[in-house]
Amino acid sequence: MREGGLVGALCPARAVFRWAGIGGAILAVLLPALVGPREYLLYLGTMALVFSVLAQSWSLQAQAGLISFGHAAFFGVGAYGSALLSLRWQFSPWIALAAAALLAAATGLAAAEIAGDLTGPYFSLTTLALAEILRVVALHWTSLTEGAWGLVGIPGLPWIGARETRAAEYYAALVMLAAMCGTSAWVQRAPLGLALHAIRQGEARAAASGVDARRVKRIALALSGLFAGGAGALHVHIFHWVDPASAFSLNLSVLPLIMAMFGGSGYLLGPPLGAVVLYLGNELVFQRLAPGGQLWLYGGAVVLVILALPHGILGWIEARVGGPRGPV
Amino acid sequence: MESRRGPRRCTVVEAVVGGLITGTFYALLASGFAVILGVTRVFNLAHGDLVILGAYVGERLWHLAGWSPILVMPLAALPPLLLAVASRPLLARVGEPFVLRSVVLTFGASLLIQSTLQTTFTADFRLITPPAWDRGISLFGVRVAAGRLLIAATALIVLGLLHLLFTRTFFGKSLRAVSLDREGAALAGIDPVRVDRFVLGLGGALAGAVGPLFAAIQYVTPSAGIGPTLTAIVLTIFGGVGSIGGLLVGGLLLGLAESVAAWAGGALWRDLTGLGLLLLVLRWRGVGLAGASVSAIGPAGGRAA
Amino acid sequence: MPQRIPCGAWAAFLVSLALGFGPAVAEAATITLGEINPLTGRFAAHGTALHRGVLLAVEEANASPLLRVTLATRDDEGRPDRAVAAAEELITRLRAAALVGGYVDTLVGPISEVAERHKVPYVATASLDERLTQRGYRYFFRISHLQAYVDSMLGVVRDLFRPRRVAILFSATPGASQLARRQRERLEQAAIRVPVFEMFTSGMSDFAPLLARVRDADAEVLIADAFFADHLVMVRQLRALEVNLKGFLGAFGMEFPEVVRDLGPSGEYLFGTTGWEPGIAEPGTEEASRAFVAQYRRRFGGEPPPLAMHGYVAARAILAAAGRAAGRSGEVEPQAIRQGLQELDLLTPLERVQFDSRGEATHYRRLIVQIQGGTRIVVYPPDRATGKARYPMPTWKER
Repeated sequence: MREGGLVGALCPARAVFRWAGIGGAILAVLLPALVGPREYLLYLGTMALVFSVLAQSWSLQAQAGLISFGHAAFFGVGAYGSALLSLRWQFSPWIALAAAALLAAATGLAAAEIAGDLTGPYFSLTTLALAEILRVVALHWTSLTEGAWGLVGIPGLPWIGARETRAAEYYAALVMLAAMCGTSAWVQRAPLGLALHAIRQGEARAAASGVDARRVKRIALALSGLFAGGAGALHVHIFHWVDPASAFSLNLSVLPLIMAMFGGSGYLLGPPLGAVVLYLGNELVFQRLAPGGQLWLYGGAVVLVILALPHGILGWIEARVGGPRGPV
Repeated sequence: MESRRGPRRCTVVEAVVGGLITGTFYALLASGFAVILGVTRVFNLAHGDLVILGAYVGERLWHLAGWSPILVMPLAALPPLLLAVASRPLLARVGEPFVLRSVVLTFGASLLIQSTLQTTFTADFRLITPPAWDRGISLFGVRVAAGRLLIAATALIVLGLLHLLFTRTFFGKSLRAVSLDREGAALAGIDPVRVDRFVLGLGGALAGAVGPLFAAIQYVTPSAGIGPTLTAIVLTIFGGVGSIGGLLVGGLLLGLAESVAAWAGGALWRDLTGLGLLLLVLRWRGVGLAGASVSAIGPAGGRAA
Repeated sequence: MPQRIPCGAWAAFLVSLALGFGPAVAEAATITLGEINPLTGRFAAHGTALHRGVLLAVEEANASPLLRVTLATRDDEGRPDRAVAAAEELITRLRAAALVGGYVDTLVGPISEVAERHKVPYVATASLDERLTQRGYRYFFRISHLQAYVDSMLGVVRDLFRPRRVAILFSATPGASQLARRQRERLEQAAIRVPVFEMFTSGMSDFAPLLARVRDADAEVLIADAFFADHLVMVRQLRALEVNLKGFLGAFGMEFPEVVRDLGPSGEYLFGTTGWEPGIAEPGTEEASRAFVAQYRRRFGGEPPPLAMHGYVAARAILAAAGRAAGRSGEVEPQAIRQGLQELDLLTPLERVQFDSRGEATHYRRLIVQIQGGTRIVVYPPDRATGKARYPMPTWKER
């Protein structure tokens, strides 16, 4: 574990990382002002942040050794929840977003119950099945979700003076990411974090040390669901539209895994880093060189990480810069 | 009006017969995945993509040269076979926990295969449509497409041969030895690397060979691999990794359940049935209720060698 | 620096520049046209066809000295988030005065949101979702719509087939499911029963259970609101299971040449819809249609798919609207283009292009075709028919 305190959990030990982190944070906060009328860059930034939240929330489960292939379930519940609340029942989009995130957290609890004591590939596949079931339900429950038609005309997030701007979406995503990272950091310090790691080593052994695996999983999945649902809700207010295929897309379950592993799932800021690098890399660089080739990028990233960078980019950087501290 | 329709048929029987036929196909579809998982512990998420690769080979050969999907099976098996064997050194580098990491690695491979297929063959739907296969044949008073019967028969033959391989040949028995206890088998003088290579090749070949059959009943796109992969996972976990018979039984049950659900409730229930069965099977098997081989794929499931 | 400007457009651009440097009588108005289409990914074939049509329209416009068009093309890979990124980039970075393109409504919807927010007109080349023109947006226009499918398919059923029972099977996509619902409403209003109304998901290989229901319900006509690949599988299974219908009407994709080729003899007597294709054009535009086909063949080789005409017409509409604002030099403003589109009345081989106050195409129509003797004959509506419909179709045994 790293130095004590919340700050210690957030800031890596080496000074260069600390300064890089602070610089990045300042840049992130000032971005809307720097970008001005070029909303294109702001949109990209917002999406990178949304994926960061998604990746970070996924890795919360991964800390317990629970590799989820069904993260789309939480995203989709948050998406549809916020869409229906703000479109059908006229709630303010901000309230709808919060409520939808809570709904997704409840879905996390339900997932923990359904998964029970399953671990390893069995857990992964259970989550996959759950996400697919939700997709099928959204597709066929036409009276609620309008089925395959999807929902159109979802209101955007109002900013000062009831105007919608990309800045509102950007800051919402930034706050969400900050809250997510804060939660992750807190989890690491708290006994909960130790419990998660104990479970990863082996549930039987953990139980012997008095860890209630079921309860820990419930909390982890609920927290994970909370933020993934928030990301989904934010997503529909950015696009003003949702449909079952995209809200519960397999892509959404798979990308967080890739991004988290790429950045380094054992590090606090690994998943967001992986998300930002892969997303912006794809948008700004890769798709100019090889349009339609994003599968190459992601497939290659996965293979590269598994074979050559088992601890992701941050692990590789740390190993190069000094001392095998290793991930948490 | 009466003469147009013909005599009314009992459609439950239709659903049952259709489901059983599809079920044997499912069992063959799953065999490649099961064989690989059982012996090498590789949880091959790219299995479906290997099937699709074989499907494209079969479709191209049928389209360009008119070769029957049954006859091209060996050719379709070749590229996936080579791919699978070539991946062995990469798999050897994967660390612990092995099963989980093999999941991620094969997942990356799946994306790479999909993008290659998309670039090479474009995303247009493809189908193999031999006219003779559309003829209807009466079976138990029910009409079935000749092509589907042919596929079911082929599946049974191949599965039968596999079963013989595993139970009657010495090599087959050594495979089972490795799947049960890798370390022990190595001590007994069986070379795990050679076995791995063979099994990966066999599994890849089985996946590729079923491709043309797949293309004859369902249209093929580069991302169509997820369906076969999920089916393979369900049946393998249900049937237990060592048992071809278990695969077949599982396949028949799955096909039957889906077909009857579709007949009774339409597409919604068909999809839900497949997924519900997956959940049930996972819950039942995952908690280690049955099958000694299952526990070897547990959370800390690794390999000794 | 805009990417992907094809050589043809550059050449036309330079030529028009040279012309513009002649006697300084009329200076050219300039416009940057943003195009977003799926050039790779699932819809690559469709996006490419749309793109080629847009290209032809741009090159035509650049041949005239009045307008200088810069075409900026972006590939959305069939993904909504890429489509939005492309729209933002084209509008805020490249200052596109109008957007064109789009194949499915999951892409068109999000793009139209961006366009509306920035007050830039967007003409969608292939959009069906009814709700998109019910939002009260002022900057969204489209040259096709769902109502045309409903009207013509219902028309042929009601006027030519006159069945008592119709089965509807539809694919789980937004356009197909909306179409199916509207069809059922209208059929039931016309006192025609719909005993089978089933959605199927793509990838469903075995239609046998659904087709068994169709047979057991004694349906005379089967309406398949689905795409070509689904029709292919369905028709083959209809034959294998000996389900005898009086008529089969496929909504989308029946206008492609592959239908006849891949279905073979089983394709005879099947009905489908079409808009424009080589040989079938809006009355009064036959020559323009032939010219388009010739131009397409010269430029790209092969016959133009119907979607190419969609791209062409949408782009021409925008450029015609922009041309009215020409006469002053300099950049054409998005507002001027929007105004021009509202007032547009342009005859093209696809349709007479006019938009109502919601941006909906007023004169878009679908025609009903039937495969007879290996070719497609227009059988409905009567004013465009080139042959008589053969209904009911013979049983499978009789063929």
